[in-house]
Amino acid sequence: MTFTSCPQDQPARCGIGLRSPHLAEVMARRPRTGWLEVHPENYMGAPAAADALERLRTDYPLSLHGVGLSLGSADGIDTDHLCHLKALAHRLQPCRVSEHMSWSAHGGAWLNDLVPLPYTDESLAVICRNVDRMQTALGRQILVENPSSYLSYRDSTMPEAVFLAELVRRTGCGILCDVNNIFVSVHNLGLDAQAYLRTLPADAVGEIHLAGHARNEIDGQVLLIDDHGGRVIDPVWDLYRDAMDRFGPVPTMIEWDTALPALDVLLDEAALADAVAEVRHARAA
Amino acid sequence: MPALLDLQRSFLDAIISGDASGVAQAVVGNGLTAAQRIQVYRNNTFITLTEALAATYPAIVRLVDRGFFNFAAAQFISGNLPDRPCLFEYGGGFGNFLAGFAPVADYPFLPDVARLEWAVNAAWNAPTPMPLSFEALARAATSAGETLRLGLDALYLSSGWNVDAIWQANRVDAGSDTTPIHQPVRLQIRRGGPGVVVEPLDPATWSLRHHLASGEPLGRAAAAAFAEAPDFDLGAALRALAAEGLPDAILPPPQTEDPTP
Repeated sequence: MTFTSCPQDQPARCGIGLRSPHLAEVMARRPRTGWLEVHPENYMGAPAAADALERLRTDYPLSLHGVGLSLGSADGIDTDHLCHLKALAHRLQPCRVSEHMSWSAHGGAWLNDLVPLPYTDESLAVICRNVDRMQTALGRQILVENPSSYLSYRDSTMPEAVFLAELVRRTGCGILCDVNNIFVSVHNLGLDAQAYLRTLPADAVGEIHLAGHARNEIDGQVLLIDDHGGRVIDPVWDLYRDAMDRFGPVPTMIEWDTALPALDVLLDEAALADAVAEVRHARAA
Repeated sequence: MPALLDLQRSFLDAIISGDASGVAQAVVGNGLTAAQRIQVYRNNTFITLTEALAATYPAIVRLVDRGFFNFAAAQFISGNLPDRPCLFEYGGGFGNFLAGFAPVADYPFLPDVARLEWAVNAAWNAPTPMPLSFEALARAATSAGETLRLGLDALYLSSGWNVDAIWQANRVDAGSDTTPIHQPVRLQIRRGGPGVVVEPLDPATWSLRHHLASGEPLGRAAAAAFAEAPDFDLGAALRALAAEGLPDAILPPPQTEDPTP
């Protein structure tokens, strides 16, 4: 099945992840930002939240970034959750819907975390089946995000970027390239960030995420933790520049989840991303 | 290699138990032990689920302090991972858990405060109701009589403690103290205005509404109300129910029991 791949109303500018504590302020101020992204799971309960989002939808392109579908689950994705997502997407008409290349659920129990898959033929078949199901249910192309990883598996038979490229080839999904996640995983697993970027099919990258991360020392070894709890650090901005060079102008988003700062800090970070992208594209032109 | 299904089962077991031995051989150490790497996922899971519980149970956090809450939450999470992906749906069993949690045995009002906080959370997150019109209600009451079953847009909780006052005093930013008193309360919990309204009801009205909300037919719900107050005015109570816009569904009639042969 072929799906529309390039929504017209998601600009190649930087938007922000809208979190509940900022909802009222964004409703009142309507600040200038490229677009808004939310976790649909936070809008499946209290009707007041989804009503507010529906009103914001008239002023901002809106992207739904799922965290609960567990596309990598060997026992399949949850039908109820998929139905709820479909209903929300129908109501809000988002410019994008995305999910993660990871798993969270098994046997009806959810880890509230995004765990990487072993990169094997079996995992590829599992996630392709689940992505197909999601795209068919929603009637649209989805973007799939590379995870931040703290471990890899002995039985993986291909690099993560190859696995993701193959997922794109087989399902027609696009890529949500989280540059901070690449930075975190590359550090934690001893990989090569440039090779990672080179392996991704550039024309499939529909969105980029940027975020801060934490440093955690275990037995003298630093493990980076993707806590979305701070500003984007300089080496991640550098990697973002490399990503811009490779992928061209792509809608970008600032993710901030823990220790959420004032809304203006997020807007400021998004403006920085716009400035970085502008310089990069001016150079390329 | 273990099939993906087996790997995911073993990984989940390791997160719950903290014992990574069942999955460690599948994980590359690369400078750390496999167990240390798996522990990062266990930490993430427990920290974020504890945050989710604290957001749903702010009064319990204030009553027991955050350190003890984290300890209790960790015990709860070990036995109760989410069974749905949305965090607002997580933690409904926390009140029952506290009722059996020995370290809080000297605080017998805690489980009901937790149950009230859960009801507040559930009311806030309930779908938008579509109240029945007077006419639809009257038609249904005329045709079904005592077998009428209604859906009500509210939750009902009873306690032997003044949990509504304790909850009010310990909500975020409320900043006051209330002494727990052994005093029966009958509460209706319902979304209203900008938040959720917790309203004490008289025992008979509470009984009627609680039994209806539990899916019982009008005849049995009314009998429960009369048991509380022999002079209960059923007509007035039904008019009040409709005036408050509580009935939001007419449910199928109760299954008739098989006649004994």
